[in-house]
Amino acid sequence: MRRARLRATRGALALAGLLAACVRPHSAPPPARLSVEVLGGAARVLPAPGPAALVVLVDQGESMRQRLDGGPSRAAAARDGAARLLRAAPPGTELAVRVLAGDGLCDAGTVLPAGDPELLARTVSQLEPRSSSSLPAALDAVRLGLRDSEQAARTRVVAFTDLDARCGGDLCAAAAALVGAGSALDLVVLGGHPAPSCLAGIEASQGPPGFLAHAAPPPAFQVEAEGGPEAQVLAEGQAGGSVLELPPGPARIALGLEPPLVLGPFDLASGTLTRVRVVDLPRLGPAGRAWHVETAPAEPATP
Amino acid sequence: MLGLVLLLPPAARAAEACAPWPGEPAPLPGAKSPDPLLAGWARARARELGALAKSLESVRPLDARRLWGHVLCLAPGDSAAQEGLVRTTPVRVVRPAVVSGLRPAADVAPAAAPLAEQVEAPIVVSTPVPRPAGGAPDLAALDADLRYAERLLRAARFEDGLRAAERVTQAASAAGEGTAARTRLARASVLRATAELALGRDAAAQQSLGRALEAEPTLSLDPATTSPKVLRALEAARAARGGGP
Repeated sequence: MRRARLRATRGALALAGLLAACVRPHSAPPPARLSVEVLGGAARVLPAPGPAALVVLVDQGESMRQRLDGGPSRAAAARDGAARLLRAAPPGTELAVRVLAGDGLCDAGTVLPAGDPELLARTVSQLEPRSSSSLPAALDAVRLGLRDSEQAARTRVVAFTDLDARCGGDLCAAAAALVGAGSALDLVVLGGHPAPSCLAGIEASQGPPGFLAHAAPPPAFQVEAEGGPEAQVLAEGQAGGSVLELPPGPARIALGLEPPLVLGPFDLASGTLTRVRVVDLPRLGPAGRAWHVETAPAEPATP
Repeated sequence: MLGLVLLLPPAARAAEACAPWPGEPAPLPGAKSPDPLLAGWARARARELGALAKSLESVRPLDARRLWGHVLCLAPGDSAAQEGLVRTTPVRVVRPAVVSGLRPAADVAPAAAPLAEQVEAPIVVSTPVPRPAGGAPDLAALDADLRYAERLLRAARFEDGLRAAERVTQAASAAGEGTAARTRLARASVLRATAELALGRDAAAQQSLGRALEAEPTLSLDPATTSPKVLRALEAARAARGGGP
């Protein structure tokens, strides 16, 4: 009985010793630590920008009958300038023409029926001055006619006008709203009417264009042990994620970039932090890729 | 949003303007960052965005402006970005020279310059070209219209090209029976046929080529610059008229 009790005690002590050996912190070397970051850029392939859109406003209001220094009338200059611009538009440009020649009610003008550039140019060439329309109202009408921000971003509005303000309206507010929607505005001024100084202060919105507004997800990577007969995956992670703890030893890092990038082998040393930073801007080709590896003593892991 | 931006003090506006975009490191590094890797990234990113901005200027001018603005955050003083910002000013007031010119309105060669530059070009107010004595046709206007139709076809705008060629055909038909007018009529008819073939309207193309041969029975096309389909259709039309190749 006594011997049996002694045997049981010895067995318990041996088991306790084994467990203690397993959990004792100083019995294994501290792990290696690894962080991977990728400084990226725009995607290699971006959405097609779509065709440019040109909206031409041709002022043929009453004041456009006046002659420019005894030469052609403002109306003629507006017609021929607009016609030339329509003919010069690159093939595929979405064209629209709005004529500012109303019926005396200071309206927003009239849109010409759609047509090819030559047809529109010829139609514009045959315009004659009538009563005045409102340039601010016309700009508002153009803005409200834009389908969405995508179309607005592709649109350049060019107004051939003498800036006659007899119809009233706030030109700067209308121009700022149009720019705020995403379209550029050119005022081709015929005659000596001064342009409101507030036009110079109109600024477009900032921040990335829509096609750059969302970052690509950070690339995944694998850490593979170096030296074995077969690649042994030690860990997987995402660039920019948390610091990994790994068994020390030589290893390679395979990054899921396009094309893939394999770095190493590195010696992931016990108790050190290996920081891998990669620059990858795929649109620049090989010149857009670089990397840097640095090591530092690892700080103790926070509990 | 615009009002809010204008109300912010200049430093806050600059900080907002140079905030990192999605996926970029924060704070946004510059080309002179003390960290060589970040500085290299900033330079490369500025190159990438500058190239994008340049390619977008003619199609999406204000998107290009945002890109140029961000390039200046990454690479302060970058001259290309500064010039790009000038080119993409949101509201431009232009006062081009206006001159009178004696030329047909249609005889303006398509210029390769971007639209933004075209807007600044002098305006030539055309006065009607005096018609030559005896009511001779305006061949210069016909040639300009032919060039325009050809340009549309080269751009694969076949419907537009067909309409333009039809107009020239009508104008050339009305221009009389002289050799010069008939040559233009033949050329316009071939352009019509080219557009019709491209649109799958083979029967109409045969009629157009028949009219071309009627106007110029010895008509031949340059095999180096003419599609084999058009060449075959021309020979078929010639055979239908009973003429040899």
